[in-house]
Amino acid sequence: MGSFMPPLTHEEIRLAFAGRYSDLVPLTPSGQGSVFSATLSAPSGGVDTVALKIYNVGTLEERTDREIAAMRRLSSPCLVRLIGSGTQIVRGSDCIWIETEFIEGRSIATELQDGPLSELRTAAIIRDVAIAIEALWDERIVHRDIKPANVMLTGSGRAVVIDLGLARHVDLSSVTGIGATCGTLGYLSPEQARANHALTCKSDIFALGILAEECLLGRHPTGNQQSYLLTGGPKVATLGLRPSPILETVVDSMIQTDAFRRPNPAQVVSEMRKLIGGATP
Amino acid sequence: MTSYDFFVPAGWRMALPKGGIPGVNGGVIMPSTVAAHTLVRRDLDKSYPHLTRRLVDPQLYLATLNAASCRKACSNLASYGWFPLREEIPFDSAEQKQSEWKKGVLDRIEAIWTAALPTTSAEITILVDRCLQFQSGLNVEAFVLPAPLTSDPGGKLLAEIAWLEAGIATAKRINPALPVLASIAINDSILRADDATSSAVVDSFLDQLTARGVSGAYIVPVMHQEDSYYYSHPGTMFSLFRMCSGLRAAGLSRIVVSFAGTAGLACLAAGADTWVSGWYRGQRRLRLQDFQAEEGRSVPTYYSHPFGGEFHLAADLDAACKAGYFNRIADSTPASAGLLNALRSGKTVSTVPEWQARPTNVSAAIEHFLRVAGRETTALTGSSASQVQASMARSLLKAYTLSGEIRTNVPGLVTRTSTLHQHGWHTAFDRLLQA
Repeated sequence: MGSFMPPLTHEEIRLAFAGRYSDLVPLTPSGQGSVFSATLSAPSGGVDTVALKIYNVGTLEERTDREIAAMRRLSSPCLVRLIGSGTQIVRGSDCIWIETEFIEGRSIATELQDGPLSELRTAAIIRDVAIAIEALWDERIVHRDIKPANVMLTGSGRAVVIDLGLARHVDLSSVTGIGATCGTLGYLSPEQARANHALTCKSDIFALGILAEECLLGRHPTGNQQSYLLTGGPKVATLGLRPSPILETVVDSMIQTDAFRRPNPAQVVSEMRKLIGGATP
Repeated sequence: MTSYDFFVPAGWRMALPKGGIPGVNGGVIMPSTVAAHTLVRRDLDKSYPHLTRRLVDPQLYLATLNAASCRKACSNLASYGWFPLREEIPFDSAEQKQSEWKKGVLDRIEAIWTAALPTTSAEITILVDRCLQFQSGLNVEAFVLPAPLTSDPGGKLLAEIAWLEAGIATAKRINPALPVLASIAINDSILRADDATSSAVVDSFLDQLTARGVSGAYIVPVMHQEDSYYYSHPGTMFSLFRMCSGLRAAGLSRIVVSFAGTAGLACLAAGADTWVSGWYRGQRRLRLQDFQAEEGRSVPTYYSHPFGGEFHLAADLDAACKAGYFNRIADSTPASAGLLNALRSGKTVSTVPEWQARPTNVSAAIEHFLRVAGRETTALTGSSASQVQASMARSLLKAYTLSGEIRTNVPGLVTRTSTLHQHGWHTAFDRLLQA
């Protein structure tokens, strides 16, 4: 697997996708591929601006029709919509591409550059991301890459989970990540890191717990060291944080070693609503 | 406060001694021991009141039995709609007697039994639908989802997940109000792993079940590594305890342990709320080899709860009493009163006709065992989880100590008088409490 060097140009994308896009703006590339905002020449489902991600060769397994159908059914205000997906020859290689609606806003990663977030804001983010995880799990999809760079904060303050690149349906043996670790170091649940059994929504819940600690702390709780997470995440109190008891209890429960001890997404949403209600602070 | 239940297995043999035993709260129908059309013709509520509360164990974990060596069980299973067959042989009461149907199936079972499970989602859904429709028709108190046998320690559980998903969706469609118990049928070679705290298979089961919001679990350990009435390996017992404990911690409301014998009673202190066992060997353990032959004619044994097991009759019980252990092993029920009176006055087991060690002379032994099982289960109800744990820890320690003494001081015990499993159970429970 290798990244595109030199970076893909507008002209290469325009030629490869034969006029599908009328305007392309490169965004910050991820480690997995090149990202653009693009205007669809023919709007789809009321969407005209999309985020197009072209994955480096060998980064992803190809999706099945069933998986794509499940992803198209996803519908949540806290989750980016899948518009298109497929493979395309780019620079002589078959590359997987994914097109999602373009979410205006700043990612949590960007937001954290200005310092930690307030407890209420963090609680709202936890609630919104848990809603997204629940919507994914209703279709038996595991995101596998929940992290600050993959959560956008919109102008209205809502958190929206983006980048469905690693999201996989449980039906596929490949989903599971058995035998091959994927995701981002520093956010992998112990079972995702070990890659020894099929993942569930509880793995995304673990990553959300780490993300929550990062929001409260203003930096990653283990400096992105995955090895410190093999026996669960650090307890909130050990980070010198003193949030409200509800928030502390929920976050601590989300980062437990045993997946079955972590709460379901619905339980997380319910607990956060006790703290902040349904509104966006 | 949890309510605890003791259920008995029900098949062709359904009746309880004397029409009922206090403390038997319900039953689990085992298709391998009764044909479907025989079962549905029985008036369960009227003729077998203890089955008013009932479950059906789909026993899909038996789908890979060898029909050539397990003809009887496969024939019974083939009469239910959820085992893949090359050809179905329906029973027509207008055209044939049940015995004629049975003979016809026994003659052809090798040809029609596939001994394999489907892999496509559509085929799985058809079989699951038949299974749950049948359960619904029998007015079960909860659906027990069919699940294949898990026997690969490195397994990914992909087949198990496929059946689980189909089961959850089908149950929701047929009767969304009925609780759903996911089955875990797991080989003890996986359970007895040295470090059960990090078993990928056990962890995965706990993760998969708790993430899907099922109401509960129906656990069947499958005996492969041992050949006894009791699981004796501490690893096996710890894994069983850990599964019950983990499922309870994750909020499942019903956890049933079946085919673990009296280890099921110990599981109540780990998080289970229902255990299922009968007196016969085939009702206490699930061992695939057992289906290859008829269980031999049974001889009575004496169950002692303080000892945590049974005494072979007549020699071992007489020898234990002679060695001075009567007061510590005596376990009194109406069924054992005559025996205990005789032993107390220095007589031997052979002087009590209903306990004489003769083949098929088992009525008193069965009634006694079921009464003890019911009594011990009922005694736990109303206690808090921590009280139940403390009580079980004391019982297991007592049984471990007593069995060790008896093993040392009573020479010539036969293997049916097991004095080894108590150590494994005590060790495993102790480990659970410390975990």
